[in-house]
Amino acid sequence: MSIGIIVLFIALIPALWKRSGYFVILWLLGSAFLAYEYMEVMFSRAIQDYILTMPMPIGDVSIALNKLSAFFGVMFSLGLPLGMLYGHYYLKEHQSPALRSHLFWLGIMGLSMHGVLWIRHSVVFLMVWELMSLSSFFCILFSKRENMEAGLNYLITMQIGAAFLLAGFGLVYLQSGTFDFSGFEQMKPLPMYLILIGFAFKAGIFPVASWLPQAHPVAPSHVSGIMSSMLIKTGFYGILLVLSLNRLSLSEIAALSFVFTISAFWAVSHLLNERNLKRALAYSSVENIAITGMGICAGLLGMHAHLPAMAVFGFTGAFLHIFFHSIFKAQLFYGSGNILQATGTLDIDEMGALAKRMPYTAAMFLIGIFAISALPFSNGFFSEFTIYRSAIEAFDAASVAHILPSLMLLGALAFIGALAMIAFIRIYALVFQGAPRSTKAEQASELKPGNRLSVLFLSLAILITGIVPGIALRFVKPLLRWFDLDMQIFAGLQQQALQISSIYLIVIALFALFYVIRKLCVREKTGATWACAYPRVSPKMQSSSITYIQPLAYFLKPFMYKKSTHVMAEHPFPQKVEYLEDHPDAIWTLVVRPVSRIISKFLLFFARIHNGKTNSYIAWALGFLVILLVWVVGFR
Amino acid sequence: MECLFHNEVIRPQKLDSFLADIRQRMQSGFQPIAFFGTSESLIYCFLGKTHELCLYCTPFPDPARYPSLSVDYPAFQIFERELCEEFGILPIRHPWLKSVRHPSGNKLSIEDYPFLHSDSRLIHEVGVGPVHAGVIEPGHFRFLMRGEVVEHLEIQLGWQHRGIIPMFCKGPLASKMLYAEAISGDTVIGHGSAYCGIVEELSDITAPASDLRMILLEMERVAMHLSTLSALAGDVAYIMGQNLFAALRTTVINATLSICGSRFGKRALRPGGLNYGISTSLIKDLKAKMQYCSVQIHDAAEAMFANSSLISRFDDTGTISANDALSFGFTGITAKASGIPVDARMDHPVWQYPGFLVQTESSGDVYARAHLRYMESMQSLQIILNLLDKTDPEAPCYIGLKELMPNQIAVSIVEGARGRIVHIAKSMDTQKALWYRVVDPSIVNWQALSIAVSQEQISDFPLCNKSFDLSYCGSDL
Amino acid sequence: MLHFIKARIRHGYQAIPNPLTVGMDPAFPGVPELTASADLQMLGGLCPTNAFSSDGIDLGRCVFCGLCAREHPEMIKFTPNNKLAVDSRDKLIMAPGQKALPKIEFRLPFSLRRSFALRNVSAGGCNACEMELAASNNVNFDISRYGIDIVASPRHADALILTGPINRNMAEALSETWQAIPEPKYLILCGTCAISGGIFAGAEAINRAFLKHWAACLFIPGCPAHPLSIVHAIASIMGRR
Repeated sequence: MSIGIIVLFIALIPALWKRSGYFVILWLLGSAFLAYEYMEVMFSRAIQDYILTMPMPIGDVSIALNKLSAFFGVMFSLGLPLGMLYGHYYLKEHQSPALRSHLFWLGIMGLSMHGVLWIRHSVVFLMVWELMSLSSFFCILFSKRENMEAGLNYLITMQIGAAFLLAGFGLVYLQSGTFDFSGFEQMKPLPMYLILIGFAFKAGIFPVASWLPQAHPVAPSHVSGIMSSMLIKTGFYGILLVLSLNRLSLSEIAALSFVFTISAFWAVSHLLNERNLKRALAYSSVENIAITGMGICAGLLGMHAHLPAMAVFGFTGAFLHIFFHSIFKAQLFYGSGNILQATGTLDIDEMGALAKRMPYTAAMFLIGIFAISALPFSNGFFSEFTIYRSAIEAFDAASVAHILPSLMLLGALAFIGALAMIAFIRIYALVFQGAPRSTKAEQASELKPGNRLSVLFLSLAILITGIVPGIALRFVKPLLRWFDLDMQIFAGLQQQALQISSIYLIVIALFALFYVIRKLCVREKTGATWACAYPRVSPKMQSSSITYIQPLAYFLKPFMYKKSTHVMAEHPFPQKVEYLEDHPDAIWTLVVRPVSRIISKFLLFFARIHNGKTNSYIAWALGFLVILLVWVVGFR
Repeated sequence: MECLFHNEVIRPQKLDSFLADIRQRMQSGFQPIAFFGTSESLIYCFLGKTHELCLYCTPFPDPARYPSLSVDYPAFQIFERELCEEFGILPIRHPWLKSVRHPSGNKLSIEDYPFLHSDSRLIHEVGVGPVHAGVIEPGHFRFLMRGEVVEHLEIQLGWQHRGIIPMFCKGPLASKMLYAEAISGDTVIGHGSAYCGIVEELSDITAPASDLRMILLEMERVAMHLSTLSALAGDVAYIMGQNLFAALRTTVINATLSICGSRFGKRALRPGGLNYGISTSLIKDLKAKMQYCSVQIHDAAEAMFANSSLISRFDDTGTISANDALSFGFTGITAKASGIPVDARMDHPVWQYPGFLVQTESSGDVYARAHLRYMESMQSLQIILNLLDKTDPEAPCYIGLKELMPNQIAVSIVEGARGRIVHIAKSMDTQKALWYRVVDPSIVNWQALSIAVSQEQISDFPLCNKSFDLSYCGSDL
Repeated sequence: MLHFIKARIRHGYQAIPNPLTVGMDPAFPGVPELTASADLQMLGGLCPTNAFSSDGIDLGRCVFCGLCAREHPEMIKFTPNNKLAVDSRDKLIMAPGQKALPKIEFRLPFSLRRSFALRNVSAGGCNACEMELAASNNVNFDISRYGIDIVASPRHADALILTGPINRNMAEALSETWQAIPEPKYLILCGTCAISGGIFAGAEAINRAFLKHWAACLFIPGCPAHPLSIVHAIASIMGRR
């Protein structure tokens, strides 16, 4: 059995004794072992294959790793301990009576995430999957009453997703006669769609992603970070698993592209208007998942159209983006957790001028923003750029049927990339620049170094994998070979990555040179920002969160559901001006809530039976038995 | 405390009958020309309609408060605020009782002006000025913004206050020409001829060469309108319009310089006449220049108003309704562009304008104001040409001054390029004035800007501001 | 489109070829010439701004109203010479018999000779100097052909060009604007009001304390200062002939 997994099980012991320090150390140790094992599987021909014999009807449970699981596994074993580390310092500030159970469920969640990658038996997989959902539910909850609603929404949504998976797995079993994942090869369309939809619930794809922006803001920061960067990737793992074993038709690929495109537009529209820092990052996760999905669709289109370049770039970009996103999203979530701790609020309309008060957090957040906006020097740039390249390669295709979806992908990618950048510039400007908009922001100060440790590691990771993307490419290579893609084109890509790295290094060197020269030669004097010489500048005299995106938001109205209260200034001598704006999730408010209300009304009808009297229950049971008897015996 | 006004004896009335008389006149279509307090502890109110002018006065009320007229007649709002700032008399239930100029000695300093604020976090403020981005006078604009849409604009002036009005009462009234010219340096002839009118009326003389004064006034009007058209074109990046109109303005003001040595007409007028006449050769030269300008302005304006992207910026931007223009008593282009035909050349003519018809537009937006300026410039050029035809280069242009008649009130109303300029004075003895009041059209018209940008995009603010072309120093005195 | 072309062609070429040497309309009151026999006391009695003293006529106080020249054309006349600027306050006093003002000797440092950014502050003037300063940027005078630019932010400026007598309400704002301009910075006084207060000198609402602390490098008299005077003045300190 894997040493790493065993160590992680042992880590549950200090968790139950509330020793989060040892918990983290054991996690680091266990993850190190696991990482080694995963890397072995990725880069060598080593096989991790066990069979666990369980009583019927479960039968033989295959526990094995393939290249895909190993890839996700490395990602998890790098990200999870950093999350636990951040959590350790976070929990020190937030003393809670529920620490014991929280740490326990945190451990279980991490374990189940790894477990999902090893299990190749559909029933056991589903059990571990459910365990993952349950443990993350408890982690979100953190025994706070106010998190109950979001947590329950999350849990129920996951249960619905699991129901889809159950239905899909059931059909596969009926069709192939085995529970093993080998039965997933060449599935009929119906079970495949059911399974894909089931995984989509977890991954956060429109229209079933509404749980994400609800759960992430209320969860403790380390949990949001882990969930956003890694938990939703398990959904993607499932989708990739299915795709690796099935050939999709062109119309199916096109439909998939369309779903991802809509998901990205929906996410980015909400992202632009969002005022809550963590909810904005949650929408951004949905958007990045959609971009990854678009990359996969581009790769699939390439495979279908026999365009090896398109396929290589598409899949490379997608895998890289999965990996990089887990790094920068976690970094941003931990950073925003620090901001929450320092100011006590997540509303960007209450922040401002935090760059002066929290310089390290600001600098690292800026690196995260570079990554999420896909700007050069960051890792996000390389992965998104590769996805763009794959869409461009489509124009070599022979038939229009391949070009049209690629055109849609390319246009969507460009548009969404720009909008995401605008959204994050807005967030950075409102949070870190200007003047403090509230006393909370005024009194903020930089946190202790422990809190910044994880953020620092992840920032370094962003910069290193950004400036030298060759490292990540080497890492992704075995996976591409496993997918049977053209390795020569990939080698060309690696060459180009080297060139990009050298350009980066030259630019950095020049920049450093100019910086030193300037520092030596120029006398600097700083003063207050020029405000037209008005003597009483107030913090109100700066942009609010609706300011410069308002003209843009006007064009995105079809994707948005806005509720606003407006007390207009009655001209010419107004007494009062008020304005409040909110963008609740359209799917949630317009679809899910009404439907669940109808269902609960329907079920309430049957609540009449629950009158608390034992006698009537016995009467109902008796009546049921009689009917059953009559049915079984009577109709002969 | 009696005095003479237009050969009528004016006696102070009781406060109640004072207010009642004012309200009665306002009901029958009068507009307030001026409303102010003086060092004699009297409040004067001048009301005017076409060809009619009436005056009421009352002693300062004790206690120092009275029911505000602005509640029913918003046209009084700025005057009542002035009164309160200068003499501390409180208008009860005034809808917007705030400082006007922050004169020295005022207990509220210019930094502490109480702007309207909003508690909503999403409403942010934009503060512009006093030192503005361009080469213009200082003023502070505070916008309450909902995103990029202006909810409310509050204008704080007073940054250009120089205390020029008290200078009129120090020393002989007839020697104050330089101050009258400096009230608003681009309306030299407007304020200058109003001042000269006061002195001449108080000395009971009729200045000769009124046609020269008319020519200079109309040339100033054309120059001002061209400057505004150039600025408006520049604001929407219609560079050809900006340059064409600017060059034509240079032609017009250089013509003014050839008459009196100053491009703005400074030193041209004096009480009792003018300093310089126009010789025959100069008449010919001016005629040629005005003809040239007429043709060129027509060309340039046609090209400008045929440009669809410019029209799309101007059209429907910064609209003032006729209702607002009437109730606030706007004058000049601000009112005429909304369809209200108020023009001192027609309402209170000092000189003869045969066949003069007030030009108006009806839409009240930036386009209306721009187009109206073009039409007025053409009309003014025609008036100048007609006058140049009839002017006599040999006629004397100065008649000499007499002593002032003591204890008289004189009013002088001139239609400047921005609107109705009013000077009012009361003579103390044969040399000096007891008090002197100036009502520049801008002081009333600034309210129009606040109304115009409401619920407009903030990026349209400079355009609206330039379309009104208001004077900061004329308002701040 | 046709209107556009027609208007443009008919308008022709409007730029003044060399604003530094172009002649002025003879009516323009520029540099005065006091005759040697002028009675300075009598002229001083006429002058509304006390521009005459025993040393001669102080152009920093003269508002060029022409009253003295109209009353006593034999003692003083104003020539249409628009080169009115000097680089120090005492050079503005013209003695009887002096025909022209001393040449501007001050030169900007080398780095500013081809690109000079001005920030205008209007402090209590009548708007005429501001309009003339703005006009110097138009198609006729075109001050930017010498590399002179009027900028919006004092942080981008090299010099502050002051118009107006500095009233009390703008004194603080003027000071702040000056502080916001980075070194090396220069102060230019444009118009008689800026140089001495003009007709507002001594008025209660004026506060000229700013000029006690900071020295100007260029004085451009005039009421208002003519664009050609402004162009000539600034081009001179940039080393243009």
